[in-house]
Amino acid sequence: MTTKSKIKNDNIVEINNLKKYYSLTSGLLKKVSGQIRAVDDVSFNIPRGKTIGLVGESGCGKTTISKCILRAIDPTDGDIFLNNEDGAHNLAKLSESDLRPLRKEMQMIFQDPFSSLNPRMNLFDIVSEPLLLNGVKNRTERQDRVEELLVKVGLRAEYMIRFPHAFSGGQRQRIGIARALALNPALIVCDEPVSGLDVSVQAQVINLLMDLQDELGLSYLFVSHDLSIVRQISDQINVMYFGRQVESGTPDEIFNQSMHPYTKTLISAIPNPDPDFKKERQPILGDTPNPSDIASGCNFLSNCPEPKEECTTSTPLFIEDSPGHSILYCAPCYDDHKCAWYPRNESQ
Amino acid sequence: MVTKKQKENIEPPLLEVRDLQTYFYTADGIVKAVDGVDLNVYPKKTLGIVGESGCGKSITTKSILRLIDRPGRIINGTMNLYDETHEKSQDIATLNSSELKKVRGGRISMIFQEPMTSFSPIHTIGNQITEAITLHLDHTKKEAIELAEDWLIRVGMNNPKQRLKQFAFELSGGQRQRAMIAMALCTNPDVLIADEPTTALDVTTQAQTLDLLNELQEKNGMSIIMITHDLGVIAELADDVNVMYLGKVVESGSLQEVYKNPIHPYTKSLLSSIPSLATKHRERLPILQGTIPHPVARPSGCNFQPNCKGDNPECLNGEPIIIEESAGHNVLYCGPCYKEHKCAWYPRGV
Repeated sequence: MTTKSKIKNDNIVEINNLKKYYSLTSGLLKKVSGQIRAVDDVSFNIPRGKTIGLVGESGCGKTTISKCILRAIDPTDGDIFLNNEDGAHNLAKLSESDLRPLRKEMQMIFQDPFSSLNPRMNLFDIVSEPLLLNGVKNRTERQDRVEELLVKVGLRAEYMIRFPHAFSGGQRQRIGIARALALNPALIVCDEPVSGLDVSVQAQVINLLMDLQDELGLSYLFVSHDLSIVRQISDQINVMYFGRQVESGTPDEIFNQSMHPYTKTLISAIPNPDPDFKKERQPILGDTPNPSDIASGCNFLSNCPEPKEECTTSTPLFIEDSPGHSILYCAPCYDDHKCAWYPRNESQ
Repeated sequence: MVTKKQKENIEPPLLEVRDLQTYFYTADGIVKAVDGVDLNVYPKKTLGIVGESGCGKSITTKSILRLIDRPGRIINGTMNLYDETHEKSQDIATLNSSELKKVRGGRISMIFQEPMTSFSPIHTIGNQITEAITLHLDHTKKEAIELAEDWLIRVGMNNPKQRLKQFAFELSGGQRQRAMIAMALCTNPDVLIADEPTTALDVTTQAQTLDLLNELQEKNGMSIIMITHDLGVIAELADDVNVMYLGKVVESGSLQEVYKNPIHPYTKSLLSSIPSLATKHRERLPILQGTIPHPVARPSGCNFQPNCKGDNPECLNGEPIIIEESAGHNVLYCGPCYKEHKCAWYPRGV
């Protein structure tokens, strides 16, 4: 990518205070009765050529964030800057028509390779559709590009005339990757790209994603609930819980020096394939709260033995403890370090 | 977490499956989904069956309950289910339908991967659990409701009275799976078949469900057959492991033996293809070369011919053989290559 030298900013995407609230309505008049804070004040950057991992349980907002970045849904508040050679573009604020030329720089790989490919289109149609939509009218040109892409993702060029049903799950995921690569994007959002695949095929797809990143200088936002794979591929990991970032750091910081009790719980819940592994499982949180009940205060109130009055209202603090390693603190408990959910409690 | 039970299997097996063959006669050809599988399920132990999709692990357990629909057919095999004293046995393969009804849900219960679709959406949880109880145990409706309530408490659900009146869609994924476990265990089965019970759940809910299964096994003493593609789940729960590939068991033995001392190349590659704590950041994972053959185009003879570089023509027909490497540790070898040890898929290497 020759254009890179012109770009000053090292981050392909910068997300600042992103919020996405859904209003709950009730009754005939659709009176707003509450809000679901799907994404609540999330900020992080995606550096060029790097992989950012987003992990968390279902409903924590990881897919909502990726959809906001692609503007598949409109964020409630906050900024998402996409930096390219023309400068910074605020994806959260742009109109649909201004957004259109930028869309080809961001592509997505979907979770389910069975439902994300049109069964009535052959491989050529599937992979070349983005090219056609972006003005590559010449058929031979498209054909050459599709050939090149299929070979790049480890499929044979003669598969072009076949239909998706003729391929296995791993091969279909490769087709999805080829389609995402068609327009030379700078950022690829991978939403659970391997969770529907077998372990041996998972390894193949992960290896392919890493090879393509090295070759093409791609940036990934890697959304997954499989922590061991996120650890393997990511340069920086964000742990999410109910719309908020709970901890953010390098894989080593998250897995070996995690500070937040929730991160520890999540990591200790991963089944270890070593039969000799003696596990000390962290206590699992009680029932996850109903998302509409989450107030503006601390997320972990239902698990706190002695919540204070202020805890229900004051917004938690996401504080950078050491460079690049940030942790969510309960605001009222931050100063006197008394709360059970004060992340450092155990080590002190 | 319950500590691992690493005792020797001194007791005779509770369920003994021998040479089970389940074929599907499709328009495209015969799919040998299960092709000569042997299983031993020991009392109060957990047998893990692991393998990739299409290897026949689910069909094996469905065959045990005779839940195979056309065009599938169990064409061969015995499935002896012993009683407590290990004196009498019934061969599930030959039971008539009324005897089979007593086994299904009575002596052998099953929990499924997707707790949403396996509950009826138009009946309450309570209705469905009490139905199982009144069918298999001699209980009145009132006793059945009490027992159902008791079971919901045992699987760790709060507010059981209210839960009984709820429908499956009102519960969260983890709660649904708990209700499913309660329904499967309320008849006190000897064997619980769990088909990917945690695949659809979050890691934390998965950990809770696995702990619950372990705990209930300690208390109730049932055997578990655990089917999963997650090698970590097997390591947490299983006492014995069967690794399956293309309808055959390629390696079986105790958890320690199979995980610590794998002999078959397929087992080795499966174990190495998951990132472990020792895997370095961005290190490429070793992968199994070649692709899994299409179900109707599976090779005769050795299963691994498409991956094999050797050119022994006998491999086309020679049946694979199972060799007991050490007590209880069985490995599938390519028949013709076994003596000369020449094949790339000869488990000990060339």
